[in-house]
Amino acid sequence: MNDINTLLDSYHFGNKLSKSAFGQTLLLRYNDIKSKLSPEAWSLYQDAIKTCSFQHYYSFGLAYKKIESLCSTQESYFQESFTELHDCKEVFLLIEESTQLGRDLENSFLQMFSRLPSKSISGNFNSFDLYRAWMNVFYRLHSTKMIPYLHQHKAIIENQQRNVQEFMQSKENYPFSKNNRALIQKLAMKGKDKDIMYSVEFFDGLRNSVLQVIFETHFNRLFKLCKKEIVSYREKQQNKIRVFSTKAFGTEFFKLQGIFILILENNTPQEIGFIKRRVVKNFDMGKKTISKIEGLLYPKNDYNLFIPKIPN
Amino acid sequence: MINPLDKTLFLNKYSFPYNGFENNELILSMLFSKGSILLNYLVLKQKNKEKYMICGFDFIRDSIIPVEIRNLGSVLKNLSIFLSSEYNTLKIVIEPVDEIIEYIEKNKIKKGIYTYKNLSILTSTQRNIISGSCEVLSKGKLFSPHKALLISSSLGLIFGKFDFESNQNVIQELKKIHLSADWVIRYWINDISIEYTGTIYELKKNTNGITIFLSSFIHELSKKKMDVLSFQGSDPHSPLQAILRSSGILKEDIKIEGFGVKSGPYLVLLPIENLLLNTLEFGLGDVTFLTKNQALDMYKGFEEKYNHNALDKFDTFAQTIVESDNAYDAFLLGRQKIQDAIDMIILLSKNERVFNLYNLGNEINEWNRLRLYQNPKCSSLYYAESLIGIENILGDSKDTWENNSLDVDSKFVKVFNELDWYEEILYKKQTEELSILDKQLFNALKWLNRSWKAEDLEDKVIYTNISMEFLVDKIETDPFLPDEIIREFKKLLKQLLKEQSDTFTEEYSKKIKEKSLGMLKEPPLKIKVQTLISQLSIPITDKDFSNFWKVREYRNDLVHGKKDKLEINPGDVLVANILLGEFIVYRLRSLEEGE
Repeated sequence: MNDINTLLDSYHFGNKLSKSAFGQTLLLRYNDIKSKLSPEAWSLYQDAIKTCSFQHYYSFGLAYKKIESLCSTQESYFQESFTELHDCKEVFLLIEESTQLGRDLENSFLQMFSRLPSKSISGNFNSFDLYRAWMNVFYRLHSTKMIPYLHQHKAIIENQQRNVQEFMQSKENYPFSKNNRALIQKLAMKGKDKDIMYSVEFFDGLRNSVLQVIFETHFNRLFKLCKKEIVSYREKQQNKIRVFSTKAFGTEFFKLQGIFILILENNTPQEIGFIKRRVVKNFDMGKKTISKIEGLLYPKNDYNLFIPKIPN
Repeated sequence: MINPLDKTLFLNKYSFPYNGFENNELILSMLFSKGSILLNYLVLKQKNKEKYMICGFDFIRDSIIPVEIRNLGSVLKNLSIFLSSEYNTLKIVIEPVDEIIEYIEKNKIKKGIYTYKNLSILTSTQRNIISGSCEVLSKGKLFSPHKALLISSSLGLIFGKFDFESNQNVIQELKKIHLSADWVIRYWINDISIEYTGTIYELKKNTNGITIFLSSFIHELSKKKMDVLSFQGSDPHSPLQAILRSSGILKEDIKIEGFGVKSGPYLVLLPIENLLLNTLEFGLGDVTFLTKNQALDMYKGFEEKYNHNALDKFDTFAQTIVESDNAYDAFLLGRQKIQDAIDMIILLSKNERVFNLYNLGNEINEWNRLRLYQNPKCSSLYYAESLIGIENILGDSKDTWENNSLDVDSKFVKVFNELDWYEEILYKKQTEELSILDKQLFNALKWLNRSWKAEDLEDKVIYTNISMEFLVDKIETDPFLPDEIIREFKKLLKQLLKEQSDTFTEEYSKKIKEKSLGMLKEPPLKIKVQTLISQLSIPITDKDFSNFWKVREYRNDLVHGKKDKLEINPGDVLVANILLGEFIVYRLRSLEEGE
């Protein structure tokens, strides 16, 4: 029995996208840039991309803008690398095409909340295989029954409750971050508020995560972890949220590019979650260096997640 | 005045200050009529207790009245007939009724409240009658039953019993009652008429006369097997559509008070027969094919509903998502999509060789002759799940009926014995001594029976039409146009073609003549059928004929692909098949008589 959920279906979609002609071209373009830039410029661009969490296909453009603004204010240490980026036309092509794809995906994704997505998600790729995978995401998203739940509480979210609105305005992008949780604790006046704020947090998190998972899968940024190959793996449940921590020798975890982690068993995806913290111990001990990552796991099975469970 | 046939009767509260009967629900209302008298009796039940009361009801004054002691036997006997009949689908049991019938045959009971076991009856010697009469209409014909009884429950009419005297006039009239017609029962009370409609189920003969039994069309459903149907949700549209539509009720006729129609996306999952997946993934258009395990992994609601008896034999499923306002229509839409995909798969699988011509590159396609015999298809089972609401349904679209064996009893055998010509014709067929005409009639019968047996409505329509064509194949009609008119037209046409031979070259002229003269004598099928009807003086009204002809129109729409979404009314096909059967009998008879 395998569990499946919205994010795993997003992962499957990302996989299909990376294998499609259009997806491959985009990936090739990205990989090509490495050879066009000096190692310093490439590494700077990489670091900047990493700071754009949950910006999926927009990350390439945002990262460029971040570097640009850094260099415009003062004579920067990065000026030389920026000039390199600025002069590399492949960078602009990548930004243009990935931003367009991001926009198309985002539009189609937002459409999912009101109607069936149409087949032509984007003029760039028009394959039935992708469409069916996208429809799976559509089904999975709705089968959480999150939308009727939010609809039910729409009035509260939109009008009556100041605190929910305040939460929505001041929360961070990163789902279930310390800051967001603290905000909920601070703003919630009664139990129901808390439920609603957590739902909003989940909804927002899921909305950002679907596209981010697709992006990370497409560009091989998603970290794949085989349970058998690691030193330790622990999981526990805290207030309906599952947290995990895992350790491994070496500094591999430090090279992580993405936010998401896919845990596999016998090559089958079992869990998907996102990384919140990474720690490296004994950095100077070479192979014996231990790195540790911690994060949150997405519910294994999100079917009817928003339907209150009736106790037997 | 309260309408004694109206459902609101069952919404009222009935209270009687006696032994716990202060708070009752009405379970049955019995309306008797005889001559110019109407009598209404109620069967009440104490709330949450198995205690019953029978009383009279004056619907003019809206008050409970006693049962007249001299009528008590008749009331109880009729109630008992109903309770022990197949029409008692509510499974109401009131045990003491039969014992009281026996008791009052020998003993007198006093006026007041008579109680035996869990049944109390409010009685009096006083007569309490309402003037009124009852008549029945069927296809415009008026019948006057000697006695009539209608029993209704909160679900509406459940039982009707109409007694007729057995005299020749009545019998001749009753013979004209048509199986496809509904009965309109009309009551006249103080110059006001109240009407009610029922479906005729049985005609029975007994020593006193003839009795016709009615019930609502819903009664048929109680004979339908619903083993597989399992529903979860709070909106009644989906289960009602699933139950009612599959038994021939049109969507537009189903209206549910208090529940609006909401449209949304539905997942549709169907088991597929004769299709084996030996690949990780396969989809076509917006249909995805899945192995059983994949289907169970992917769809948790389906897993919860998974019914081993019904679904175990299937290894392959097909999935699609459609927008609909209820699960049954979602299933119909989804099945269409999946069927379309399967049709395309079958086409390619049988003709792969052809696609060698379209191959890119120099590779050759593999193919296998045995694929000619492999025909995947949708099974009749279905699972549909609303993506928005909390609603899912597992059902079977195939009609299966309980106990559906034809009962050959002595009365049925007698019918065959009386119709010796019927057996003669069969014997001719068995000894292959049929004329061409006889053969065509047996072909008509073969296709008519195929239509009766077909599960698919479109198949039914096509088979009925094939039968119709065989039926009238050798019918001689008046020429479609009189000879002199055709002659005149031919002459003028030839003249025209000749005069303008610059425009109408020899080649064009030939084609024009072929098309415009060839069919002038050939009458259309409709005329042939109408000729048959008049030649054999088959009693059929214009309305019957137009219902009958609907099936030809469906066929034309089907054959010419005129309508994208053809909604066929199963009732029309039913009427057409009944009438077609009658035509075949009339024609067989006329041949036997040598007309």
